[in-house]
Amino acid sequence: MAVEALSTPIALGNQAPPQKVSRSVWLLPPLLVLAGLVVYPLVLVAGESFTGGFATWREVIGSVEFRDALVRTIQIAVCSTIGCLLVGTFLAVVISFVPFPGARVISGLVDAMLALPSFLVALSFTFIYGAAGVLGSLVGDSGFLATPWAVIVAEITFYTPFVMRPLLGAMAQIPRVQLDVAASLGGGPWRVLRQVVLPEVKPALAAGGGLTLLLTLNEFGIVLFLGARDTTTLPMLVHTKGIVMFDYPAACVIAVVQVLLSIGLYVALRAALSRQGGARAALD
Amino acid sequence: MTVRLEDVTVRFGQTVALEGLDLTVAAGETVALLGPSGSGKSTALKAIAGFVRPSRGRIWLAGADVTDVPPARRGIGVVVQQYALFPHLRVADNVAFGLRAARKPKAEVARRVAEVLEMVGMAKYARRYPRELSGGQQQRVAIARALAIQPPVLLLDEPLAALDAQLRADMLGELQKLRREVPDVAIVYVTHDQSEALALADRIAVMRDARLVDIAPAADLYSAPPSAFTASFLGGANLLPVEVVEGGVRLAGQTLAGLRPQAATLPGDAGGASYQGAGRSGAGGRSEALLLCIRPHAIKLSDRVGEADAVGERGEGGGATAGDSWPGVLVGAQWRGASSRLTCVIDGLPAVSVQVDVPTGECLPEVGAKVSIELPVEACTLVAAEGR
Ligand SMILES: Nc1ncnc2c1ncn2[C@@H]1O[C@H](COP(=O)(O)OP(=O)(O)OP(=O)(O)O)[C@@H](O)[C@H]1O
Ligand SMILES: [Mg+2]
Repeated sequence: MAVEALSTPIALGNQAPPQKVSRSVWLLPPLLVLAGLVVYPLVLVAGESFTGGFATWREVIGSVEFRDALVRTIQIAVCSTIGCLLVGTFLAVVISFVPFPGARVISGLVDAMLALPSFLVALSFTFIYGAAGVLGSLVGDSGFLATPWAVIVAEITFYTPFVMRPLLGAMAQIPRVQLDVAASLGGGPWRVLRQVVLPEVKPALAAGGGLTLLLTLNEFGIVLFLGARDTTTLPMLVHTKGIVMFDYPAACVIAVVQVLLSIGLYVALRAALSRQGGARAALD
Repeated sequence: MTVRLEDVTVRFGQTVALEGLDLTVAAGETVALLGPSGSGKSTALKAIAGFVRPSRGRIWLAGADVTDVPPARRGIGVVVQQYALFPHLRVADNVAFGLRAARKPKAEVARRVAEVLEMVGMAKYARRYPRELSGGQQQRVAIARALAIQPPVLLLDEPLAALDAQLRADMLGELQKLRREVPDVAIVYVTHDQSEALALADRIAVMRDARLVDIAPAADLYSAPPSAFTASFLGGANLLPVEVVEGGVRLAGQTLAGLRPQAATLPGDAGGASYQGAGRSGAGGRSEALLLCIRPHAIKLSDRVGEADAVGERGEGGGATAGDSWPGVLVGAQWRGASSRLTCVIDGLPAVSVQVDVPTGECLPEVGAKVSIELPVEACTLVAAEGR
């Protein structure tokens, strides 16, 4: 027994180096694929943006067109995300805690929604709100589709399930008896929601909201399909510059800004989430 | 405030968790629900609290039908078996939850929270989160949270189960004090632990298989258990098969004089819900299977060292052994601190072991020794055997 116990660390010490090597070998192929398919094109895009030196950058960044698009993009993304959080939380609470037949079916539909392409929502909007659409023919063309609000409403419609999915999971984890006790202490639904339910689903809310913010920042299909005149976002601008006007360097500048924006937001979200997780771990 | 349940039945799908419960708890009264695991105690509590809706029956609070009233408007204090503290609120905020929901002024909330936390001995943990507490500490916070709102009805589901013996005794004392301080509160107290039930309850309700078996004042239930189940569940009584004979009962071929079956244990008008006739009876059901019930501490043991051949000596009417004594053998002994639990077998009744408690300090026979087992007639009662 004693001999075995002594020999164990020695054996481990012998095995450690080859294990390390084999582990990095396994990491290599995915890293290569990642470099080939993701990093390389990005480097090309970045390189292209500098074909005219810094002049293109200065020109694009300085243009009113770009700044308007940047502000619009952020406005739409933030408004859509807030809308998604409100609608998603409301629906998730109803599905999770208000007993009604078919709650399971609806929760399944939420999953199905996640699988649909976003332009489908935009398409359906043109059928509903467009000049020839259901509402359009009733009240006349209100011009709603041409406003950024149409994009926001469409994005809320499409991205709400992305908020609901993690929320439904988190809410299913809350023990019913906690809500029962809260109610028996005289807590009304609003108080129970605020003090018991929401604090427990905060991580899910943050994850869903962060994902939605990232996705709405980069949303292209809905904006393109609705073709709203006043609604030029950064992805739209890239499309216009690159595909319509063949101004590749300018398109690449905007694309690089878009990528930096996304990565920056992603890093910020990760930091925020891990800080939250760290605080919880420290308390546990 | 009086709580009244009338034929309350709770079903979960196919499972019947509670069957036709009739129970009244008067204001100021404490009723303990006692029963084995899965007997429906928690379900009864949940029905009173409004957490589950009975599939049949009505529930009344202070004369008003609350069967369809949501928990929030019943004003009942509940301590559930799982504690169910709110994990994101500190101890003090957990306790304050009900007070804030009732929109009490800030100063009063603070005063009351400090008061109840002091009472359960958790004052110095007020700033902690529930996950930073041990199970027993969480349980005490849950009790404090229910007490804070000064409810007229208090439902406690095994509130002391996670505490050690010392703390349990302390909390039991606190609960007894609480009863004296708030005399009008009606308490339903669920427990596995018969000593808690005996210490706290005015009446004990024994449950089994989703049904109420017996309900009576604690002392009555203990001294004269109405059913075999209650006798063994409450206080672990010995149950020995006997036959009724002229002038008493017959146990292992020997007559115990002076013990008469009471009316309640007689077949026909058997009130005990558990009683089911064992068939095989003659005229009038007089020879129904009966069990002699005696508590382990009431039995007296003595050595039979002097007797050379006990089996041979035991004649038909109980020859050599004195009046209420039976010859037997000691087969096991377990030291339990203040007393020892001895297991004996009466000669001629090998299938039934007899538990005897002997206070520590008395000299004990050796395991395997022949003993004489004395059953004092005043400590014996008769209960109907269950025909299952
Ligand atoms: N939500 C539920 N769904 C299905 N069956 C349930 C549910 N709750 C309880 N039961 C069943 O009802 C019966 C009674 O349960 P209950 O919780 O009242 O028992 P108990 O007497 O409190 O037991 P314990 O002493 O172990 O807490 C059990 O058989 C249990 O399996
Ligand atoms: Mg229980």
